[in-house]
Amino acid sequence: MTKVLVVTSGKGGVGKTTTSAAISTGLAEAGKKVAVIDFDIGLRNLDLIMGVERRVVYDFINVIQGDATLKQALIKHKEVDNLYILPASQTRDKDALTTEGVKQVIDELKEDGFDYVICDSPAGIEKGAHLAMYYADEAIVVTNPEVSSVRDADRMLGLLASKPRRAEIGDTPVVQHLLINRYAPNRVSTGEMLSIEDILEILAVPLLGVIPESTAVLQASNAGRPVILEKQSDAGQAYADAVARLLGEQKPMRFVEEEKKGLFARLFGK
Amino acid sequence: MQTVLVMSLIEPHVLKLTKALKSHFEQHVMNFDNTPLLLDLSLIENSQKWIDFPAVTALLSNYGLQVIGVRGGNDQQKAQARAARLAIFDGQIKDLAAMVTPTTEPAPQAMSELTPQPSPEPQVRVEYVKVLNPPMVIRHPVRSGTEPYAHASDLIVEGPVSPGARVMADGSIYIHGPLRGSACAGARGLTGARIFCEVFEPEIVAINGVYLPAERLSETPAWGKRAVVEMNEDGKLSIRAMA
Repeated sequence: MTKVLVVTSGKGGVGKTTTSAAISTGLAEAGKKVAVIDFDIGLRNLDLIMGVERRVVYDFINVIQGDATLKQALIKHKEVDNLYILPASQTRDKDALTTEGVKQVIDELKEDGFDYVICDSPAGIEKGAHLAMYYADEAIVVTNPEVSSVRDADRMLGLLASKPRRAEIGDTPVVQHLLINRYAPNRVSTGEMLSIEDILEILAVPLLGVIPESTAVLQASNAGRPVILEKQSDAGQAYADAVARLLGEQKPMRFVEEEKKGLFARLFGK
Repeated sequence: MQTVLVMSLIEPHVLKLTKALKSHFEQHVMNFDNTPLLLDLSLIENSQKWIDFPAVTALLSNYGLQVIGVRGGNDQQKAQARAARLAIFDGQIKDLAAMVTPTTEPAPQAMSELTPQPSPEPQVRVEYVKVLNPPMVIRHPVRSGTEPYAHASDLIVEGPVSPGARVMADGSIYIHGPLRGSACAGARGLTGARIFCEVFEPEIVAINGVYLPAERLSETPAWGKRAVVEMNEDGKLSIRAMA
């Protein structure tokens, strides 16, 4: 049974693509067969984060328009088994996406026995974002600990309750997960950022994970490796925890408390 | 949305109308203060009678009713209304909260055969059309960008109302959670409507079109607490923290 999972946020720059890359890689590492689709037509990014940008020949739009088969367009990840990337088109715009086209691709992935189809949504609430969530069974809403992205996440949660196909045909609603990204406990204690409790009180959805603000994320992006593969990094471990929770495991939240400074650090102010 | 009082004219004769209104307002104490009124002519559309709009308008203004226009009526009546500088409202105006129906001697064309026993006494009947529907219940958080509206009923929300969301009801609004968006109770003129919430941090609250924005509300002692918003007798909103 294939699960279609959309990663969305409303606001741009909160870490949707980073999350899509990490979650899909984590699920594949856990033995699932995973396809991750970049829905950001015209602003292709996922292939860079996944490190496959030099192997893109055909893209999502080519498949929809029949210029290529799905098998030709899916890029197999070199390092992780069972992980396939369907890149967005960089030359077309969102109008090339159609409901029927998306359905056709997702149905074909289902037939091919994929366990998870991860849809990396573009920012905004326009057509691309709508189509990314339309066939979703589950959704990860990514937010940063600041008011504007929390408000956009709230808007997105409202759309997830009303716009997807599941809502249209009266099926069980899309399962909603919240992922808080770029969390910096020390900046929460100084009042610069919203706390986890503040965010949960506003959004009232189950928390899938909290990813700490980390330099590892930028380094991993630049290197074209999903950050979850950096096993030593805090962000990588936090994503691994989130994947485990997605698969039904109970994991305590890590990296949510301010680090206690050691004696030397306190003495020398570092 | 603004509620407009509609008066259906059955007998346009000014003298008869004067008597009817006089007896009506003796029986019913009603305070109209420059209240907009729409004259409905649909019951006398078939009548060729000349309607003295300036006289009718002046008569009604004695009772604090300001005629703003007419609806219905035949072309001749519309032309007369236009000459009296009244607006012509076309189309449907739905869901009227109150309707004043002066039923003087029934117009012969309109009711001759339908009512075998026309009431002998000239009278004016006031009909408040009150529709009591079961409350609308929302069992999930009201998200930013959504605008649920409880028509002719109360609204109960089992969860938070997020910033950027707007909840509206013709009756009262009960929010079992924080109110961080906007809430508008008594949307069609029910001044006794109230807004209840567990955490009072709204963007805007309004009752019967009288509203206060967060900028003014954040100074109230009730901010952030369990609170109720109600309308005073002087028509101003008061916010009270609940124990």
